[in-house]
Amino acid sequence: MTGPASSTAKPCSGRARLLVVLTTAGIVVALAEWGSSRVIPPDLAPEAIGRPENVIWIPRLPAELPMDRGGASVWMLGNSHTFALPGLKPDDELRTELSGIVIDRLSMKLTAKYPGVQTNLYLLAYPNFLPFEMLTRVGQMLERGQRPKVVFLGLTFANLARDSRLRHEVYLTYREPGFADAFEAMLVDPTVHADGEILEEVGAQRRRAEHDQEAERLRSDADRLDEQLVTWAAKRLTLIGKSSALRAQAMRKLMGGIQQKWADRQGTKYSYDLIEHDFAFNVKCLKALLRLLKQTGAEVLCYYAPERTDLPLMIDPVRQEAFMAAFNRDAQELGIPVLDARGLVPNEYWGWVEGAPDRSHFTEPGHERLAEFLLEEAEKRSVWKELTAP
Amino acid sequence: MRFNSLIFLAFLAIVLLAVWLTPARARRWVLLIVSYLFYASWHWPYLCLLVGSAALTHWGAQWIVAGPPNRKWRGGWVLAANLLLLAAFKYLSWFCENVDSVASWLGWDEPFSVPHWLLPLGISFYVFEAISYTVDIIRKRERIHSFWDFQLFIAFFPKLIAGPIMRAKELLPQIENPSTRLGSVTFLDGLWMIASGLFIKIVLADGLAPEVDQAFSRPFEGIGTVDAWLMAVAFGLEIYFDFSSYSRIAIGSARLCGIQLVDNFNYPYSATSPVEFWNRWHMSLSRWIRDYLFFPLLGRKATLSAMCRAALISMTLCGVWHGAGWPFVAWGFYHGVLIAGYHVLTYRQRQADAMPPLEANALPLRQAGTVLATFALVSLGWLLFRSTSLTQAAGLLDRALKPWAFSYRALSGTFYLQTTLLVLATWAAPFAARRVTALVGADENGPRVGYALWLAQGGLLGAMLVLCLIYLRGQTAFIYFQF
Repeated sequence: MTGPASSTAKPCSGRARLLVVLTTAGIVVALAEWGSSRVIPPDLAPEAIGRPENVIWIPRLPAELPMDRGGASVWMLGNSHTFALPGLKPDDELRTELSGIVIDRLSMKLTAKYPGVQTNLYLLAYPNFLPFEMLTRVGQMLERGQRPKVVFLGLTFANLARDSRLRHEVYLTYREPGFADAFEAMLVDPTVHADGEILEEVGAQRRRAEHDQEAERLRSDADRLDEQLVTWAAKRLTLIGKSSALRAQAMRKLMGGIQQKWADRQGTKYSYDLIEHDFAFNVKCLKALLRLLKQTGAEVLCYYAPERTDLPLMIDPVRQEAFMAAFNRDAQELGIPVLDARGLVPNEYWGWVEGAPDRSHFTEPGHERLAEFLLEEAEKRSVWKELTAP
Repeated sequence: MRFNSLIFLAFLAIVLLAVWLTPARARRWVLLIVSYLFYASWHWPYLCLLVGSAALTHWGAQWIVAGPPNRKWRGGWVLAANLLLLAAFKYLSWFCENVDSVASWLGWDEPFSVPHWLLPLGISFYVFEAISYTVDIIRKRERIHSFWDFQLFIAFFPKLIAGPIMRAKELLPQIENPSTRLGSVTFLDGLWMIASGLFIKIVLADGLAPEVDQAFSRPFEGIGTVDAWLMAVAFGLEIYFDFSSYSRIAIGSARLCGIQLVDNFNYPYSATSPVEFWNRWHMSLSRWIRDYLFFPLLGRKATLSAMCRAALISMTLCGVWHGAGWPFVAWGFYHGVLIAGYHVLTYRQRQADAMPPLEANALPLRQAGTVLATFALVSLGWLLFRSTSLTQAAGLLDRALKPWAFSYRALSGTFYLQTTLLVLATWAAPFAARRVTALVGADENGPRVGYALWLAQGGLLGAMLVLCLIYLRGQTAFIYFQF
């Protein structure tokens, strides 16, 4: 149980052994520290991104939500298809949060078309952004007094069908003072009339937040001191300071490599199960989200996000069609148009992940196509007149 | 102060300097002061509780010894006082909640306002040590030690929060006769235990924890059969890595202070029966349960019914010891059923052959089968342990045992992959350890092999430290801290 150290090696004294072991360990740590600073690429400088000034990326952490800039606002909700650019050849990193994504292009086109209108475009997006998460973030924006004029809501069926968990960054919204109360009030409003299950989930997240805040309050002085020590060390050691990037690289190499081997054997025919419970909850949240957005007086435009057409669907296509038919009906009742952009982006505009076709992310020309499509469809429906409305 | 923190490593370094620069006869005072500081760093008012509990037990022991030869009567009072302490801090809120629930179900006003006291860290562990000492005094197997040495026995910082649960006869002689020097092999041994413990906690246990937490926070209605088994196995691994890593760091830290603690884990997932599992899992608690609950409940005649009854009662109490909640009670009872079932299956064979059953001299294939069966049964139990309510536990068990009804898969492929790799590594670990021990212990190895082994050990130590630095994510507590 005690490992190699408990052995009794014959040839030299214990002190020599201690010296050899500790020196070797020290050399390994020093080499790793030296090597890690070369493995991790430097952070992208803000000026390299070159995003239009009126595009506001809503940060992942709710506490960092920016103040309302005034003027007319356009919100864009969706998963990573709205912001991530894929790698283009094997071993290329997935590029995210760079310029040239759909919202940037939409902003430039809008500015060119309506030069006199002061418009701000807000991107509320996460990878696999789920309806309960969307509902929470929209609730937070409304609670802060922000009101949209136009909302684009991009949906991917694969996201709705399997999962309904709240990610940590979005959960943190429930730790903001007063948020849960205000959000509950929005949801029970007769025009929104959210399902009881959604209210239960809000209550559960509120209790979780209270519990965590109590634990935070009871944190010992030793823990606080340790936090300072780690912060101090992180500034001096790459192994700690850049640990999340190093972890990501290690996981990509190890798990990604094994998964790729598995995927190669499976081909592209692998399909995921639809999880009834999560799917039903997501649909309820989606309906509540539409009603909540409509209640603000905004023009809402839904679209089914682009998909590759050269690969089999990951989730039961029959259920997908059934969902779309039902959702279209619900949206129609609220006067919300639903666009089908699934076949919009040609297959050659999509990226690659470690040598396999990427199902989730398309390249800059794909983003250009989507921006053009949304602009035109909104124009057809006279949505943009909302921007100049008082 | 958590073991998996930089502040603890700094604290340990200062403690070691202070301990080894102090003359041997005064070392116990240094250890006592730093142990009190260690405990107070979490929540200082509860230091009084720790000191008071130890003092109560020590004075109680003196009172028992000064009394009549039959020590049971006075001993009973001291035991009751210790149990009362545990009950008040650990079980009172749970008791009040249950009474309130029953009252509201009957339509009455809720009679209690539930007290929300902070659970004193390590109370289950140090109260059990106090109880074992008191019982040993009643049985005349232990003598009265000095007051401050007894305080150090209870408060010795490496094992204070989550064990190993020590006996007075194991620790007090080491306190009274401290070792005079710290040998380089002992130093390296302690360092190795700490580094490997940190690696297991930070990289393995904390690596699994987010996925496990996410899976258990999902509504169980969305969980399929294979998912439920994955959750059971993954949590089983997480708690094993988490707790065994704590024990390794505790044993290593104590060794650096010149004190030997007992082992707490011996590859439990390689056990071939539920009884063997408990001889390998949380060993210091298992022998406590065996010596102070199971044997007294068994009585003089080890009949099958007496064995089953003793197993059921003692394991249910073991479940209650782990936490105040019905899922823990169910988990303890479940293990009682497993052990009783094992006794039923093997009783006749043992009576006839007077030899250990099933696993003894088993063929490799049969042995692998018994390991797998034990692993599956133990894993199923973890669903009870980890669930936050009986409803969730029942829902997950239902899914785990009905593959025809819940054939879908909801959890991520990465989680499956990660857990599979870790299970294989856990099963391979005892074989690897045996090979390494054989290699380093072989006399025919020349000096070159010796040097190569040292270099390999150094390289491994360095690699573990590097991974610990990379995987140090925020401040994560050990699971057993809540018990």
